[in-house]
Amino acid sequence: MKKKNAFLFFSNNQGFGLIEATISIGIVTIFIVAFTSLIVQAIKTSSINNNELKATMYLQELIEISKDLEQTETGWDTLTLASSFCGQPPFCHPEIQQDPDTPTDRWWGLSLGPESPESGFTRSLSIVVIPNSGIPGVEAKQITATVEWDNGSQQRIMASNLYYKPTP
Amino acid sequence: MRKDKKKSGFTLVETIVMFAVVIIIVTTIMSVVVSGLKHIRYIKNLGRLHSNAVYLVNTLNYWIKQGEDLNVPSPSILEVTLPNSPTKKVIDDSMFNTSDIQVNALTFTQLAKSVQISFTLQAENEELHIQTTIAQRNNLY
Repeated sequence: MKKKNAFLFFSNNQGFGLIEATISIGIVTIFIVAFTSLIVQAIKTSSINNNELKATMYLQELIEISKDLEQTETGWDTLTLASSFCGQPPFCHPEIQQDPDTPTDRWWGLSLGPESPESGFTRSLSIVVIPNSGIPGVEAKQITATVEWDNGSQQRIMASNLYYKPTP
Repeated sequence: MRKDKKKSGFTLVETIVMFAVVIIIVTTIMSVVVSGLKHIRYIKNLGRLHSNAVYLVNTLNYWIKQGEDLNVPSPSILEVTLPNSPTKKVIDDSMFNTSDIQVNALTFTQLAKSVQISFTLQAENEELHIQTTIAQRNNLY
């Protein structure tokens, strides 16, 4: 009986068949597609997180600006005036006001309509008077901050109440 | 009598084709892997920038909320006067720079009862710009 040489397995002059070639190309393709799709998904998730962080900052800023206006008589008057036109669309947005004589003297004001703090983001502030604050001598207002991004497909809303005690 | 020895192995054409195929496959895999690693690094840096941005805003929030009075002597410096304390807390970008994250253009704009803050964080080639406002604590509620 003829003994088979192990080395002849690789040199049987047959080469790779179509099936082997197809399988090897298929394995390589699966690896490349899987790795690429994983990276693409990771980039998308990262971009979503980035936008959500920015949106949260812009939203929080609106609430903080309202808290600034809540603390002074001038600011409260601004909120009272704005509540007559900011309670319904197109709502309001904050703007820094500056004294032309003393440029370092700055304060927050409110203007009609939403604003775009950055390309792709839109935010607005709604102000509604609460008739009865529940606390004697204290006035109250409800504010609702809204930020939209990704062409309006993503939206985040935050609401808060403001209180002010006018000096008698 | 000696028999003719049967020739075996790859021909020159087969070898060249094999090398070409191997080079194409290796190049494709390498470019995908290198590009993937680059993106993984970008995502990692962005994550670090996010956590640092949140830390920076939280720290500023902590000091501003408990400050009795705020002063911005220059756009890059914020002085916070604490209640019942003769010293002022001075805040600038040196508070937040770390070995791998750099805080650029930290600027403060003083308003009636708040401070507008703007800064850019940089980790390697990635940058994150943040603008926000923090109000003082309302003494009423």
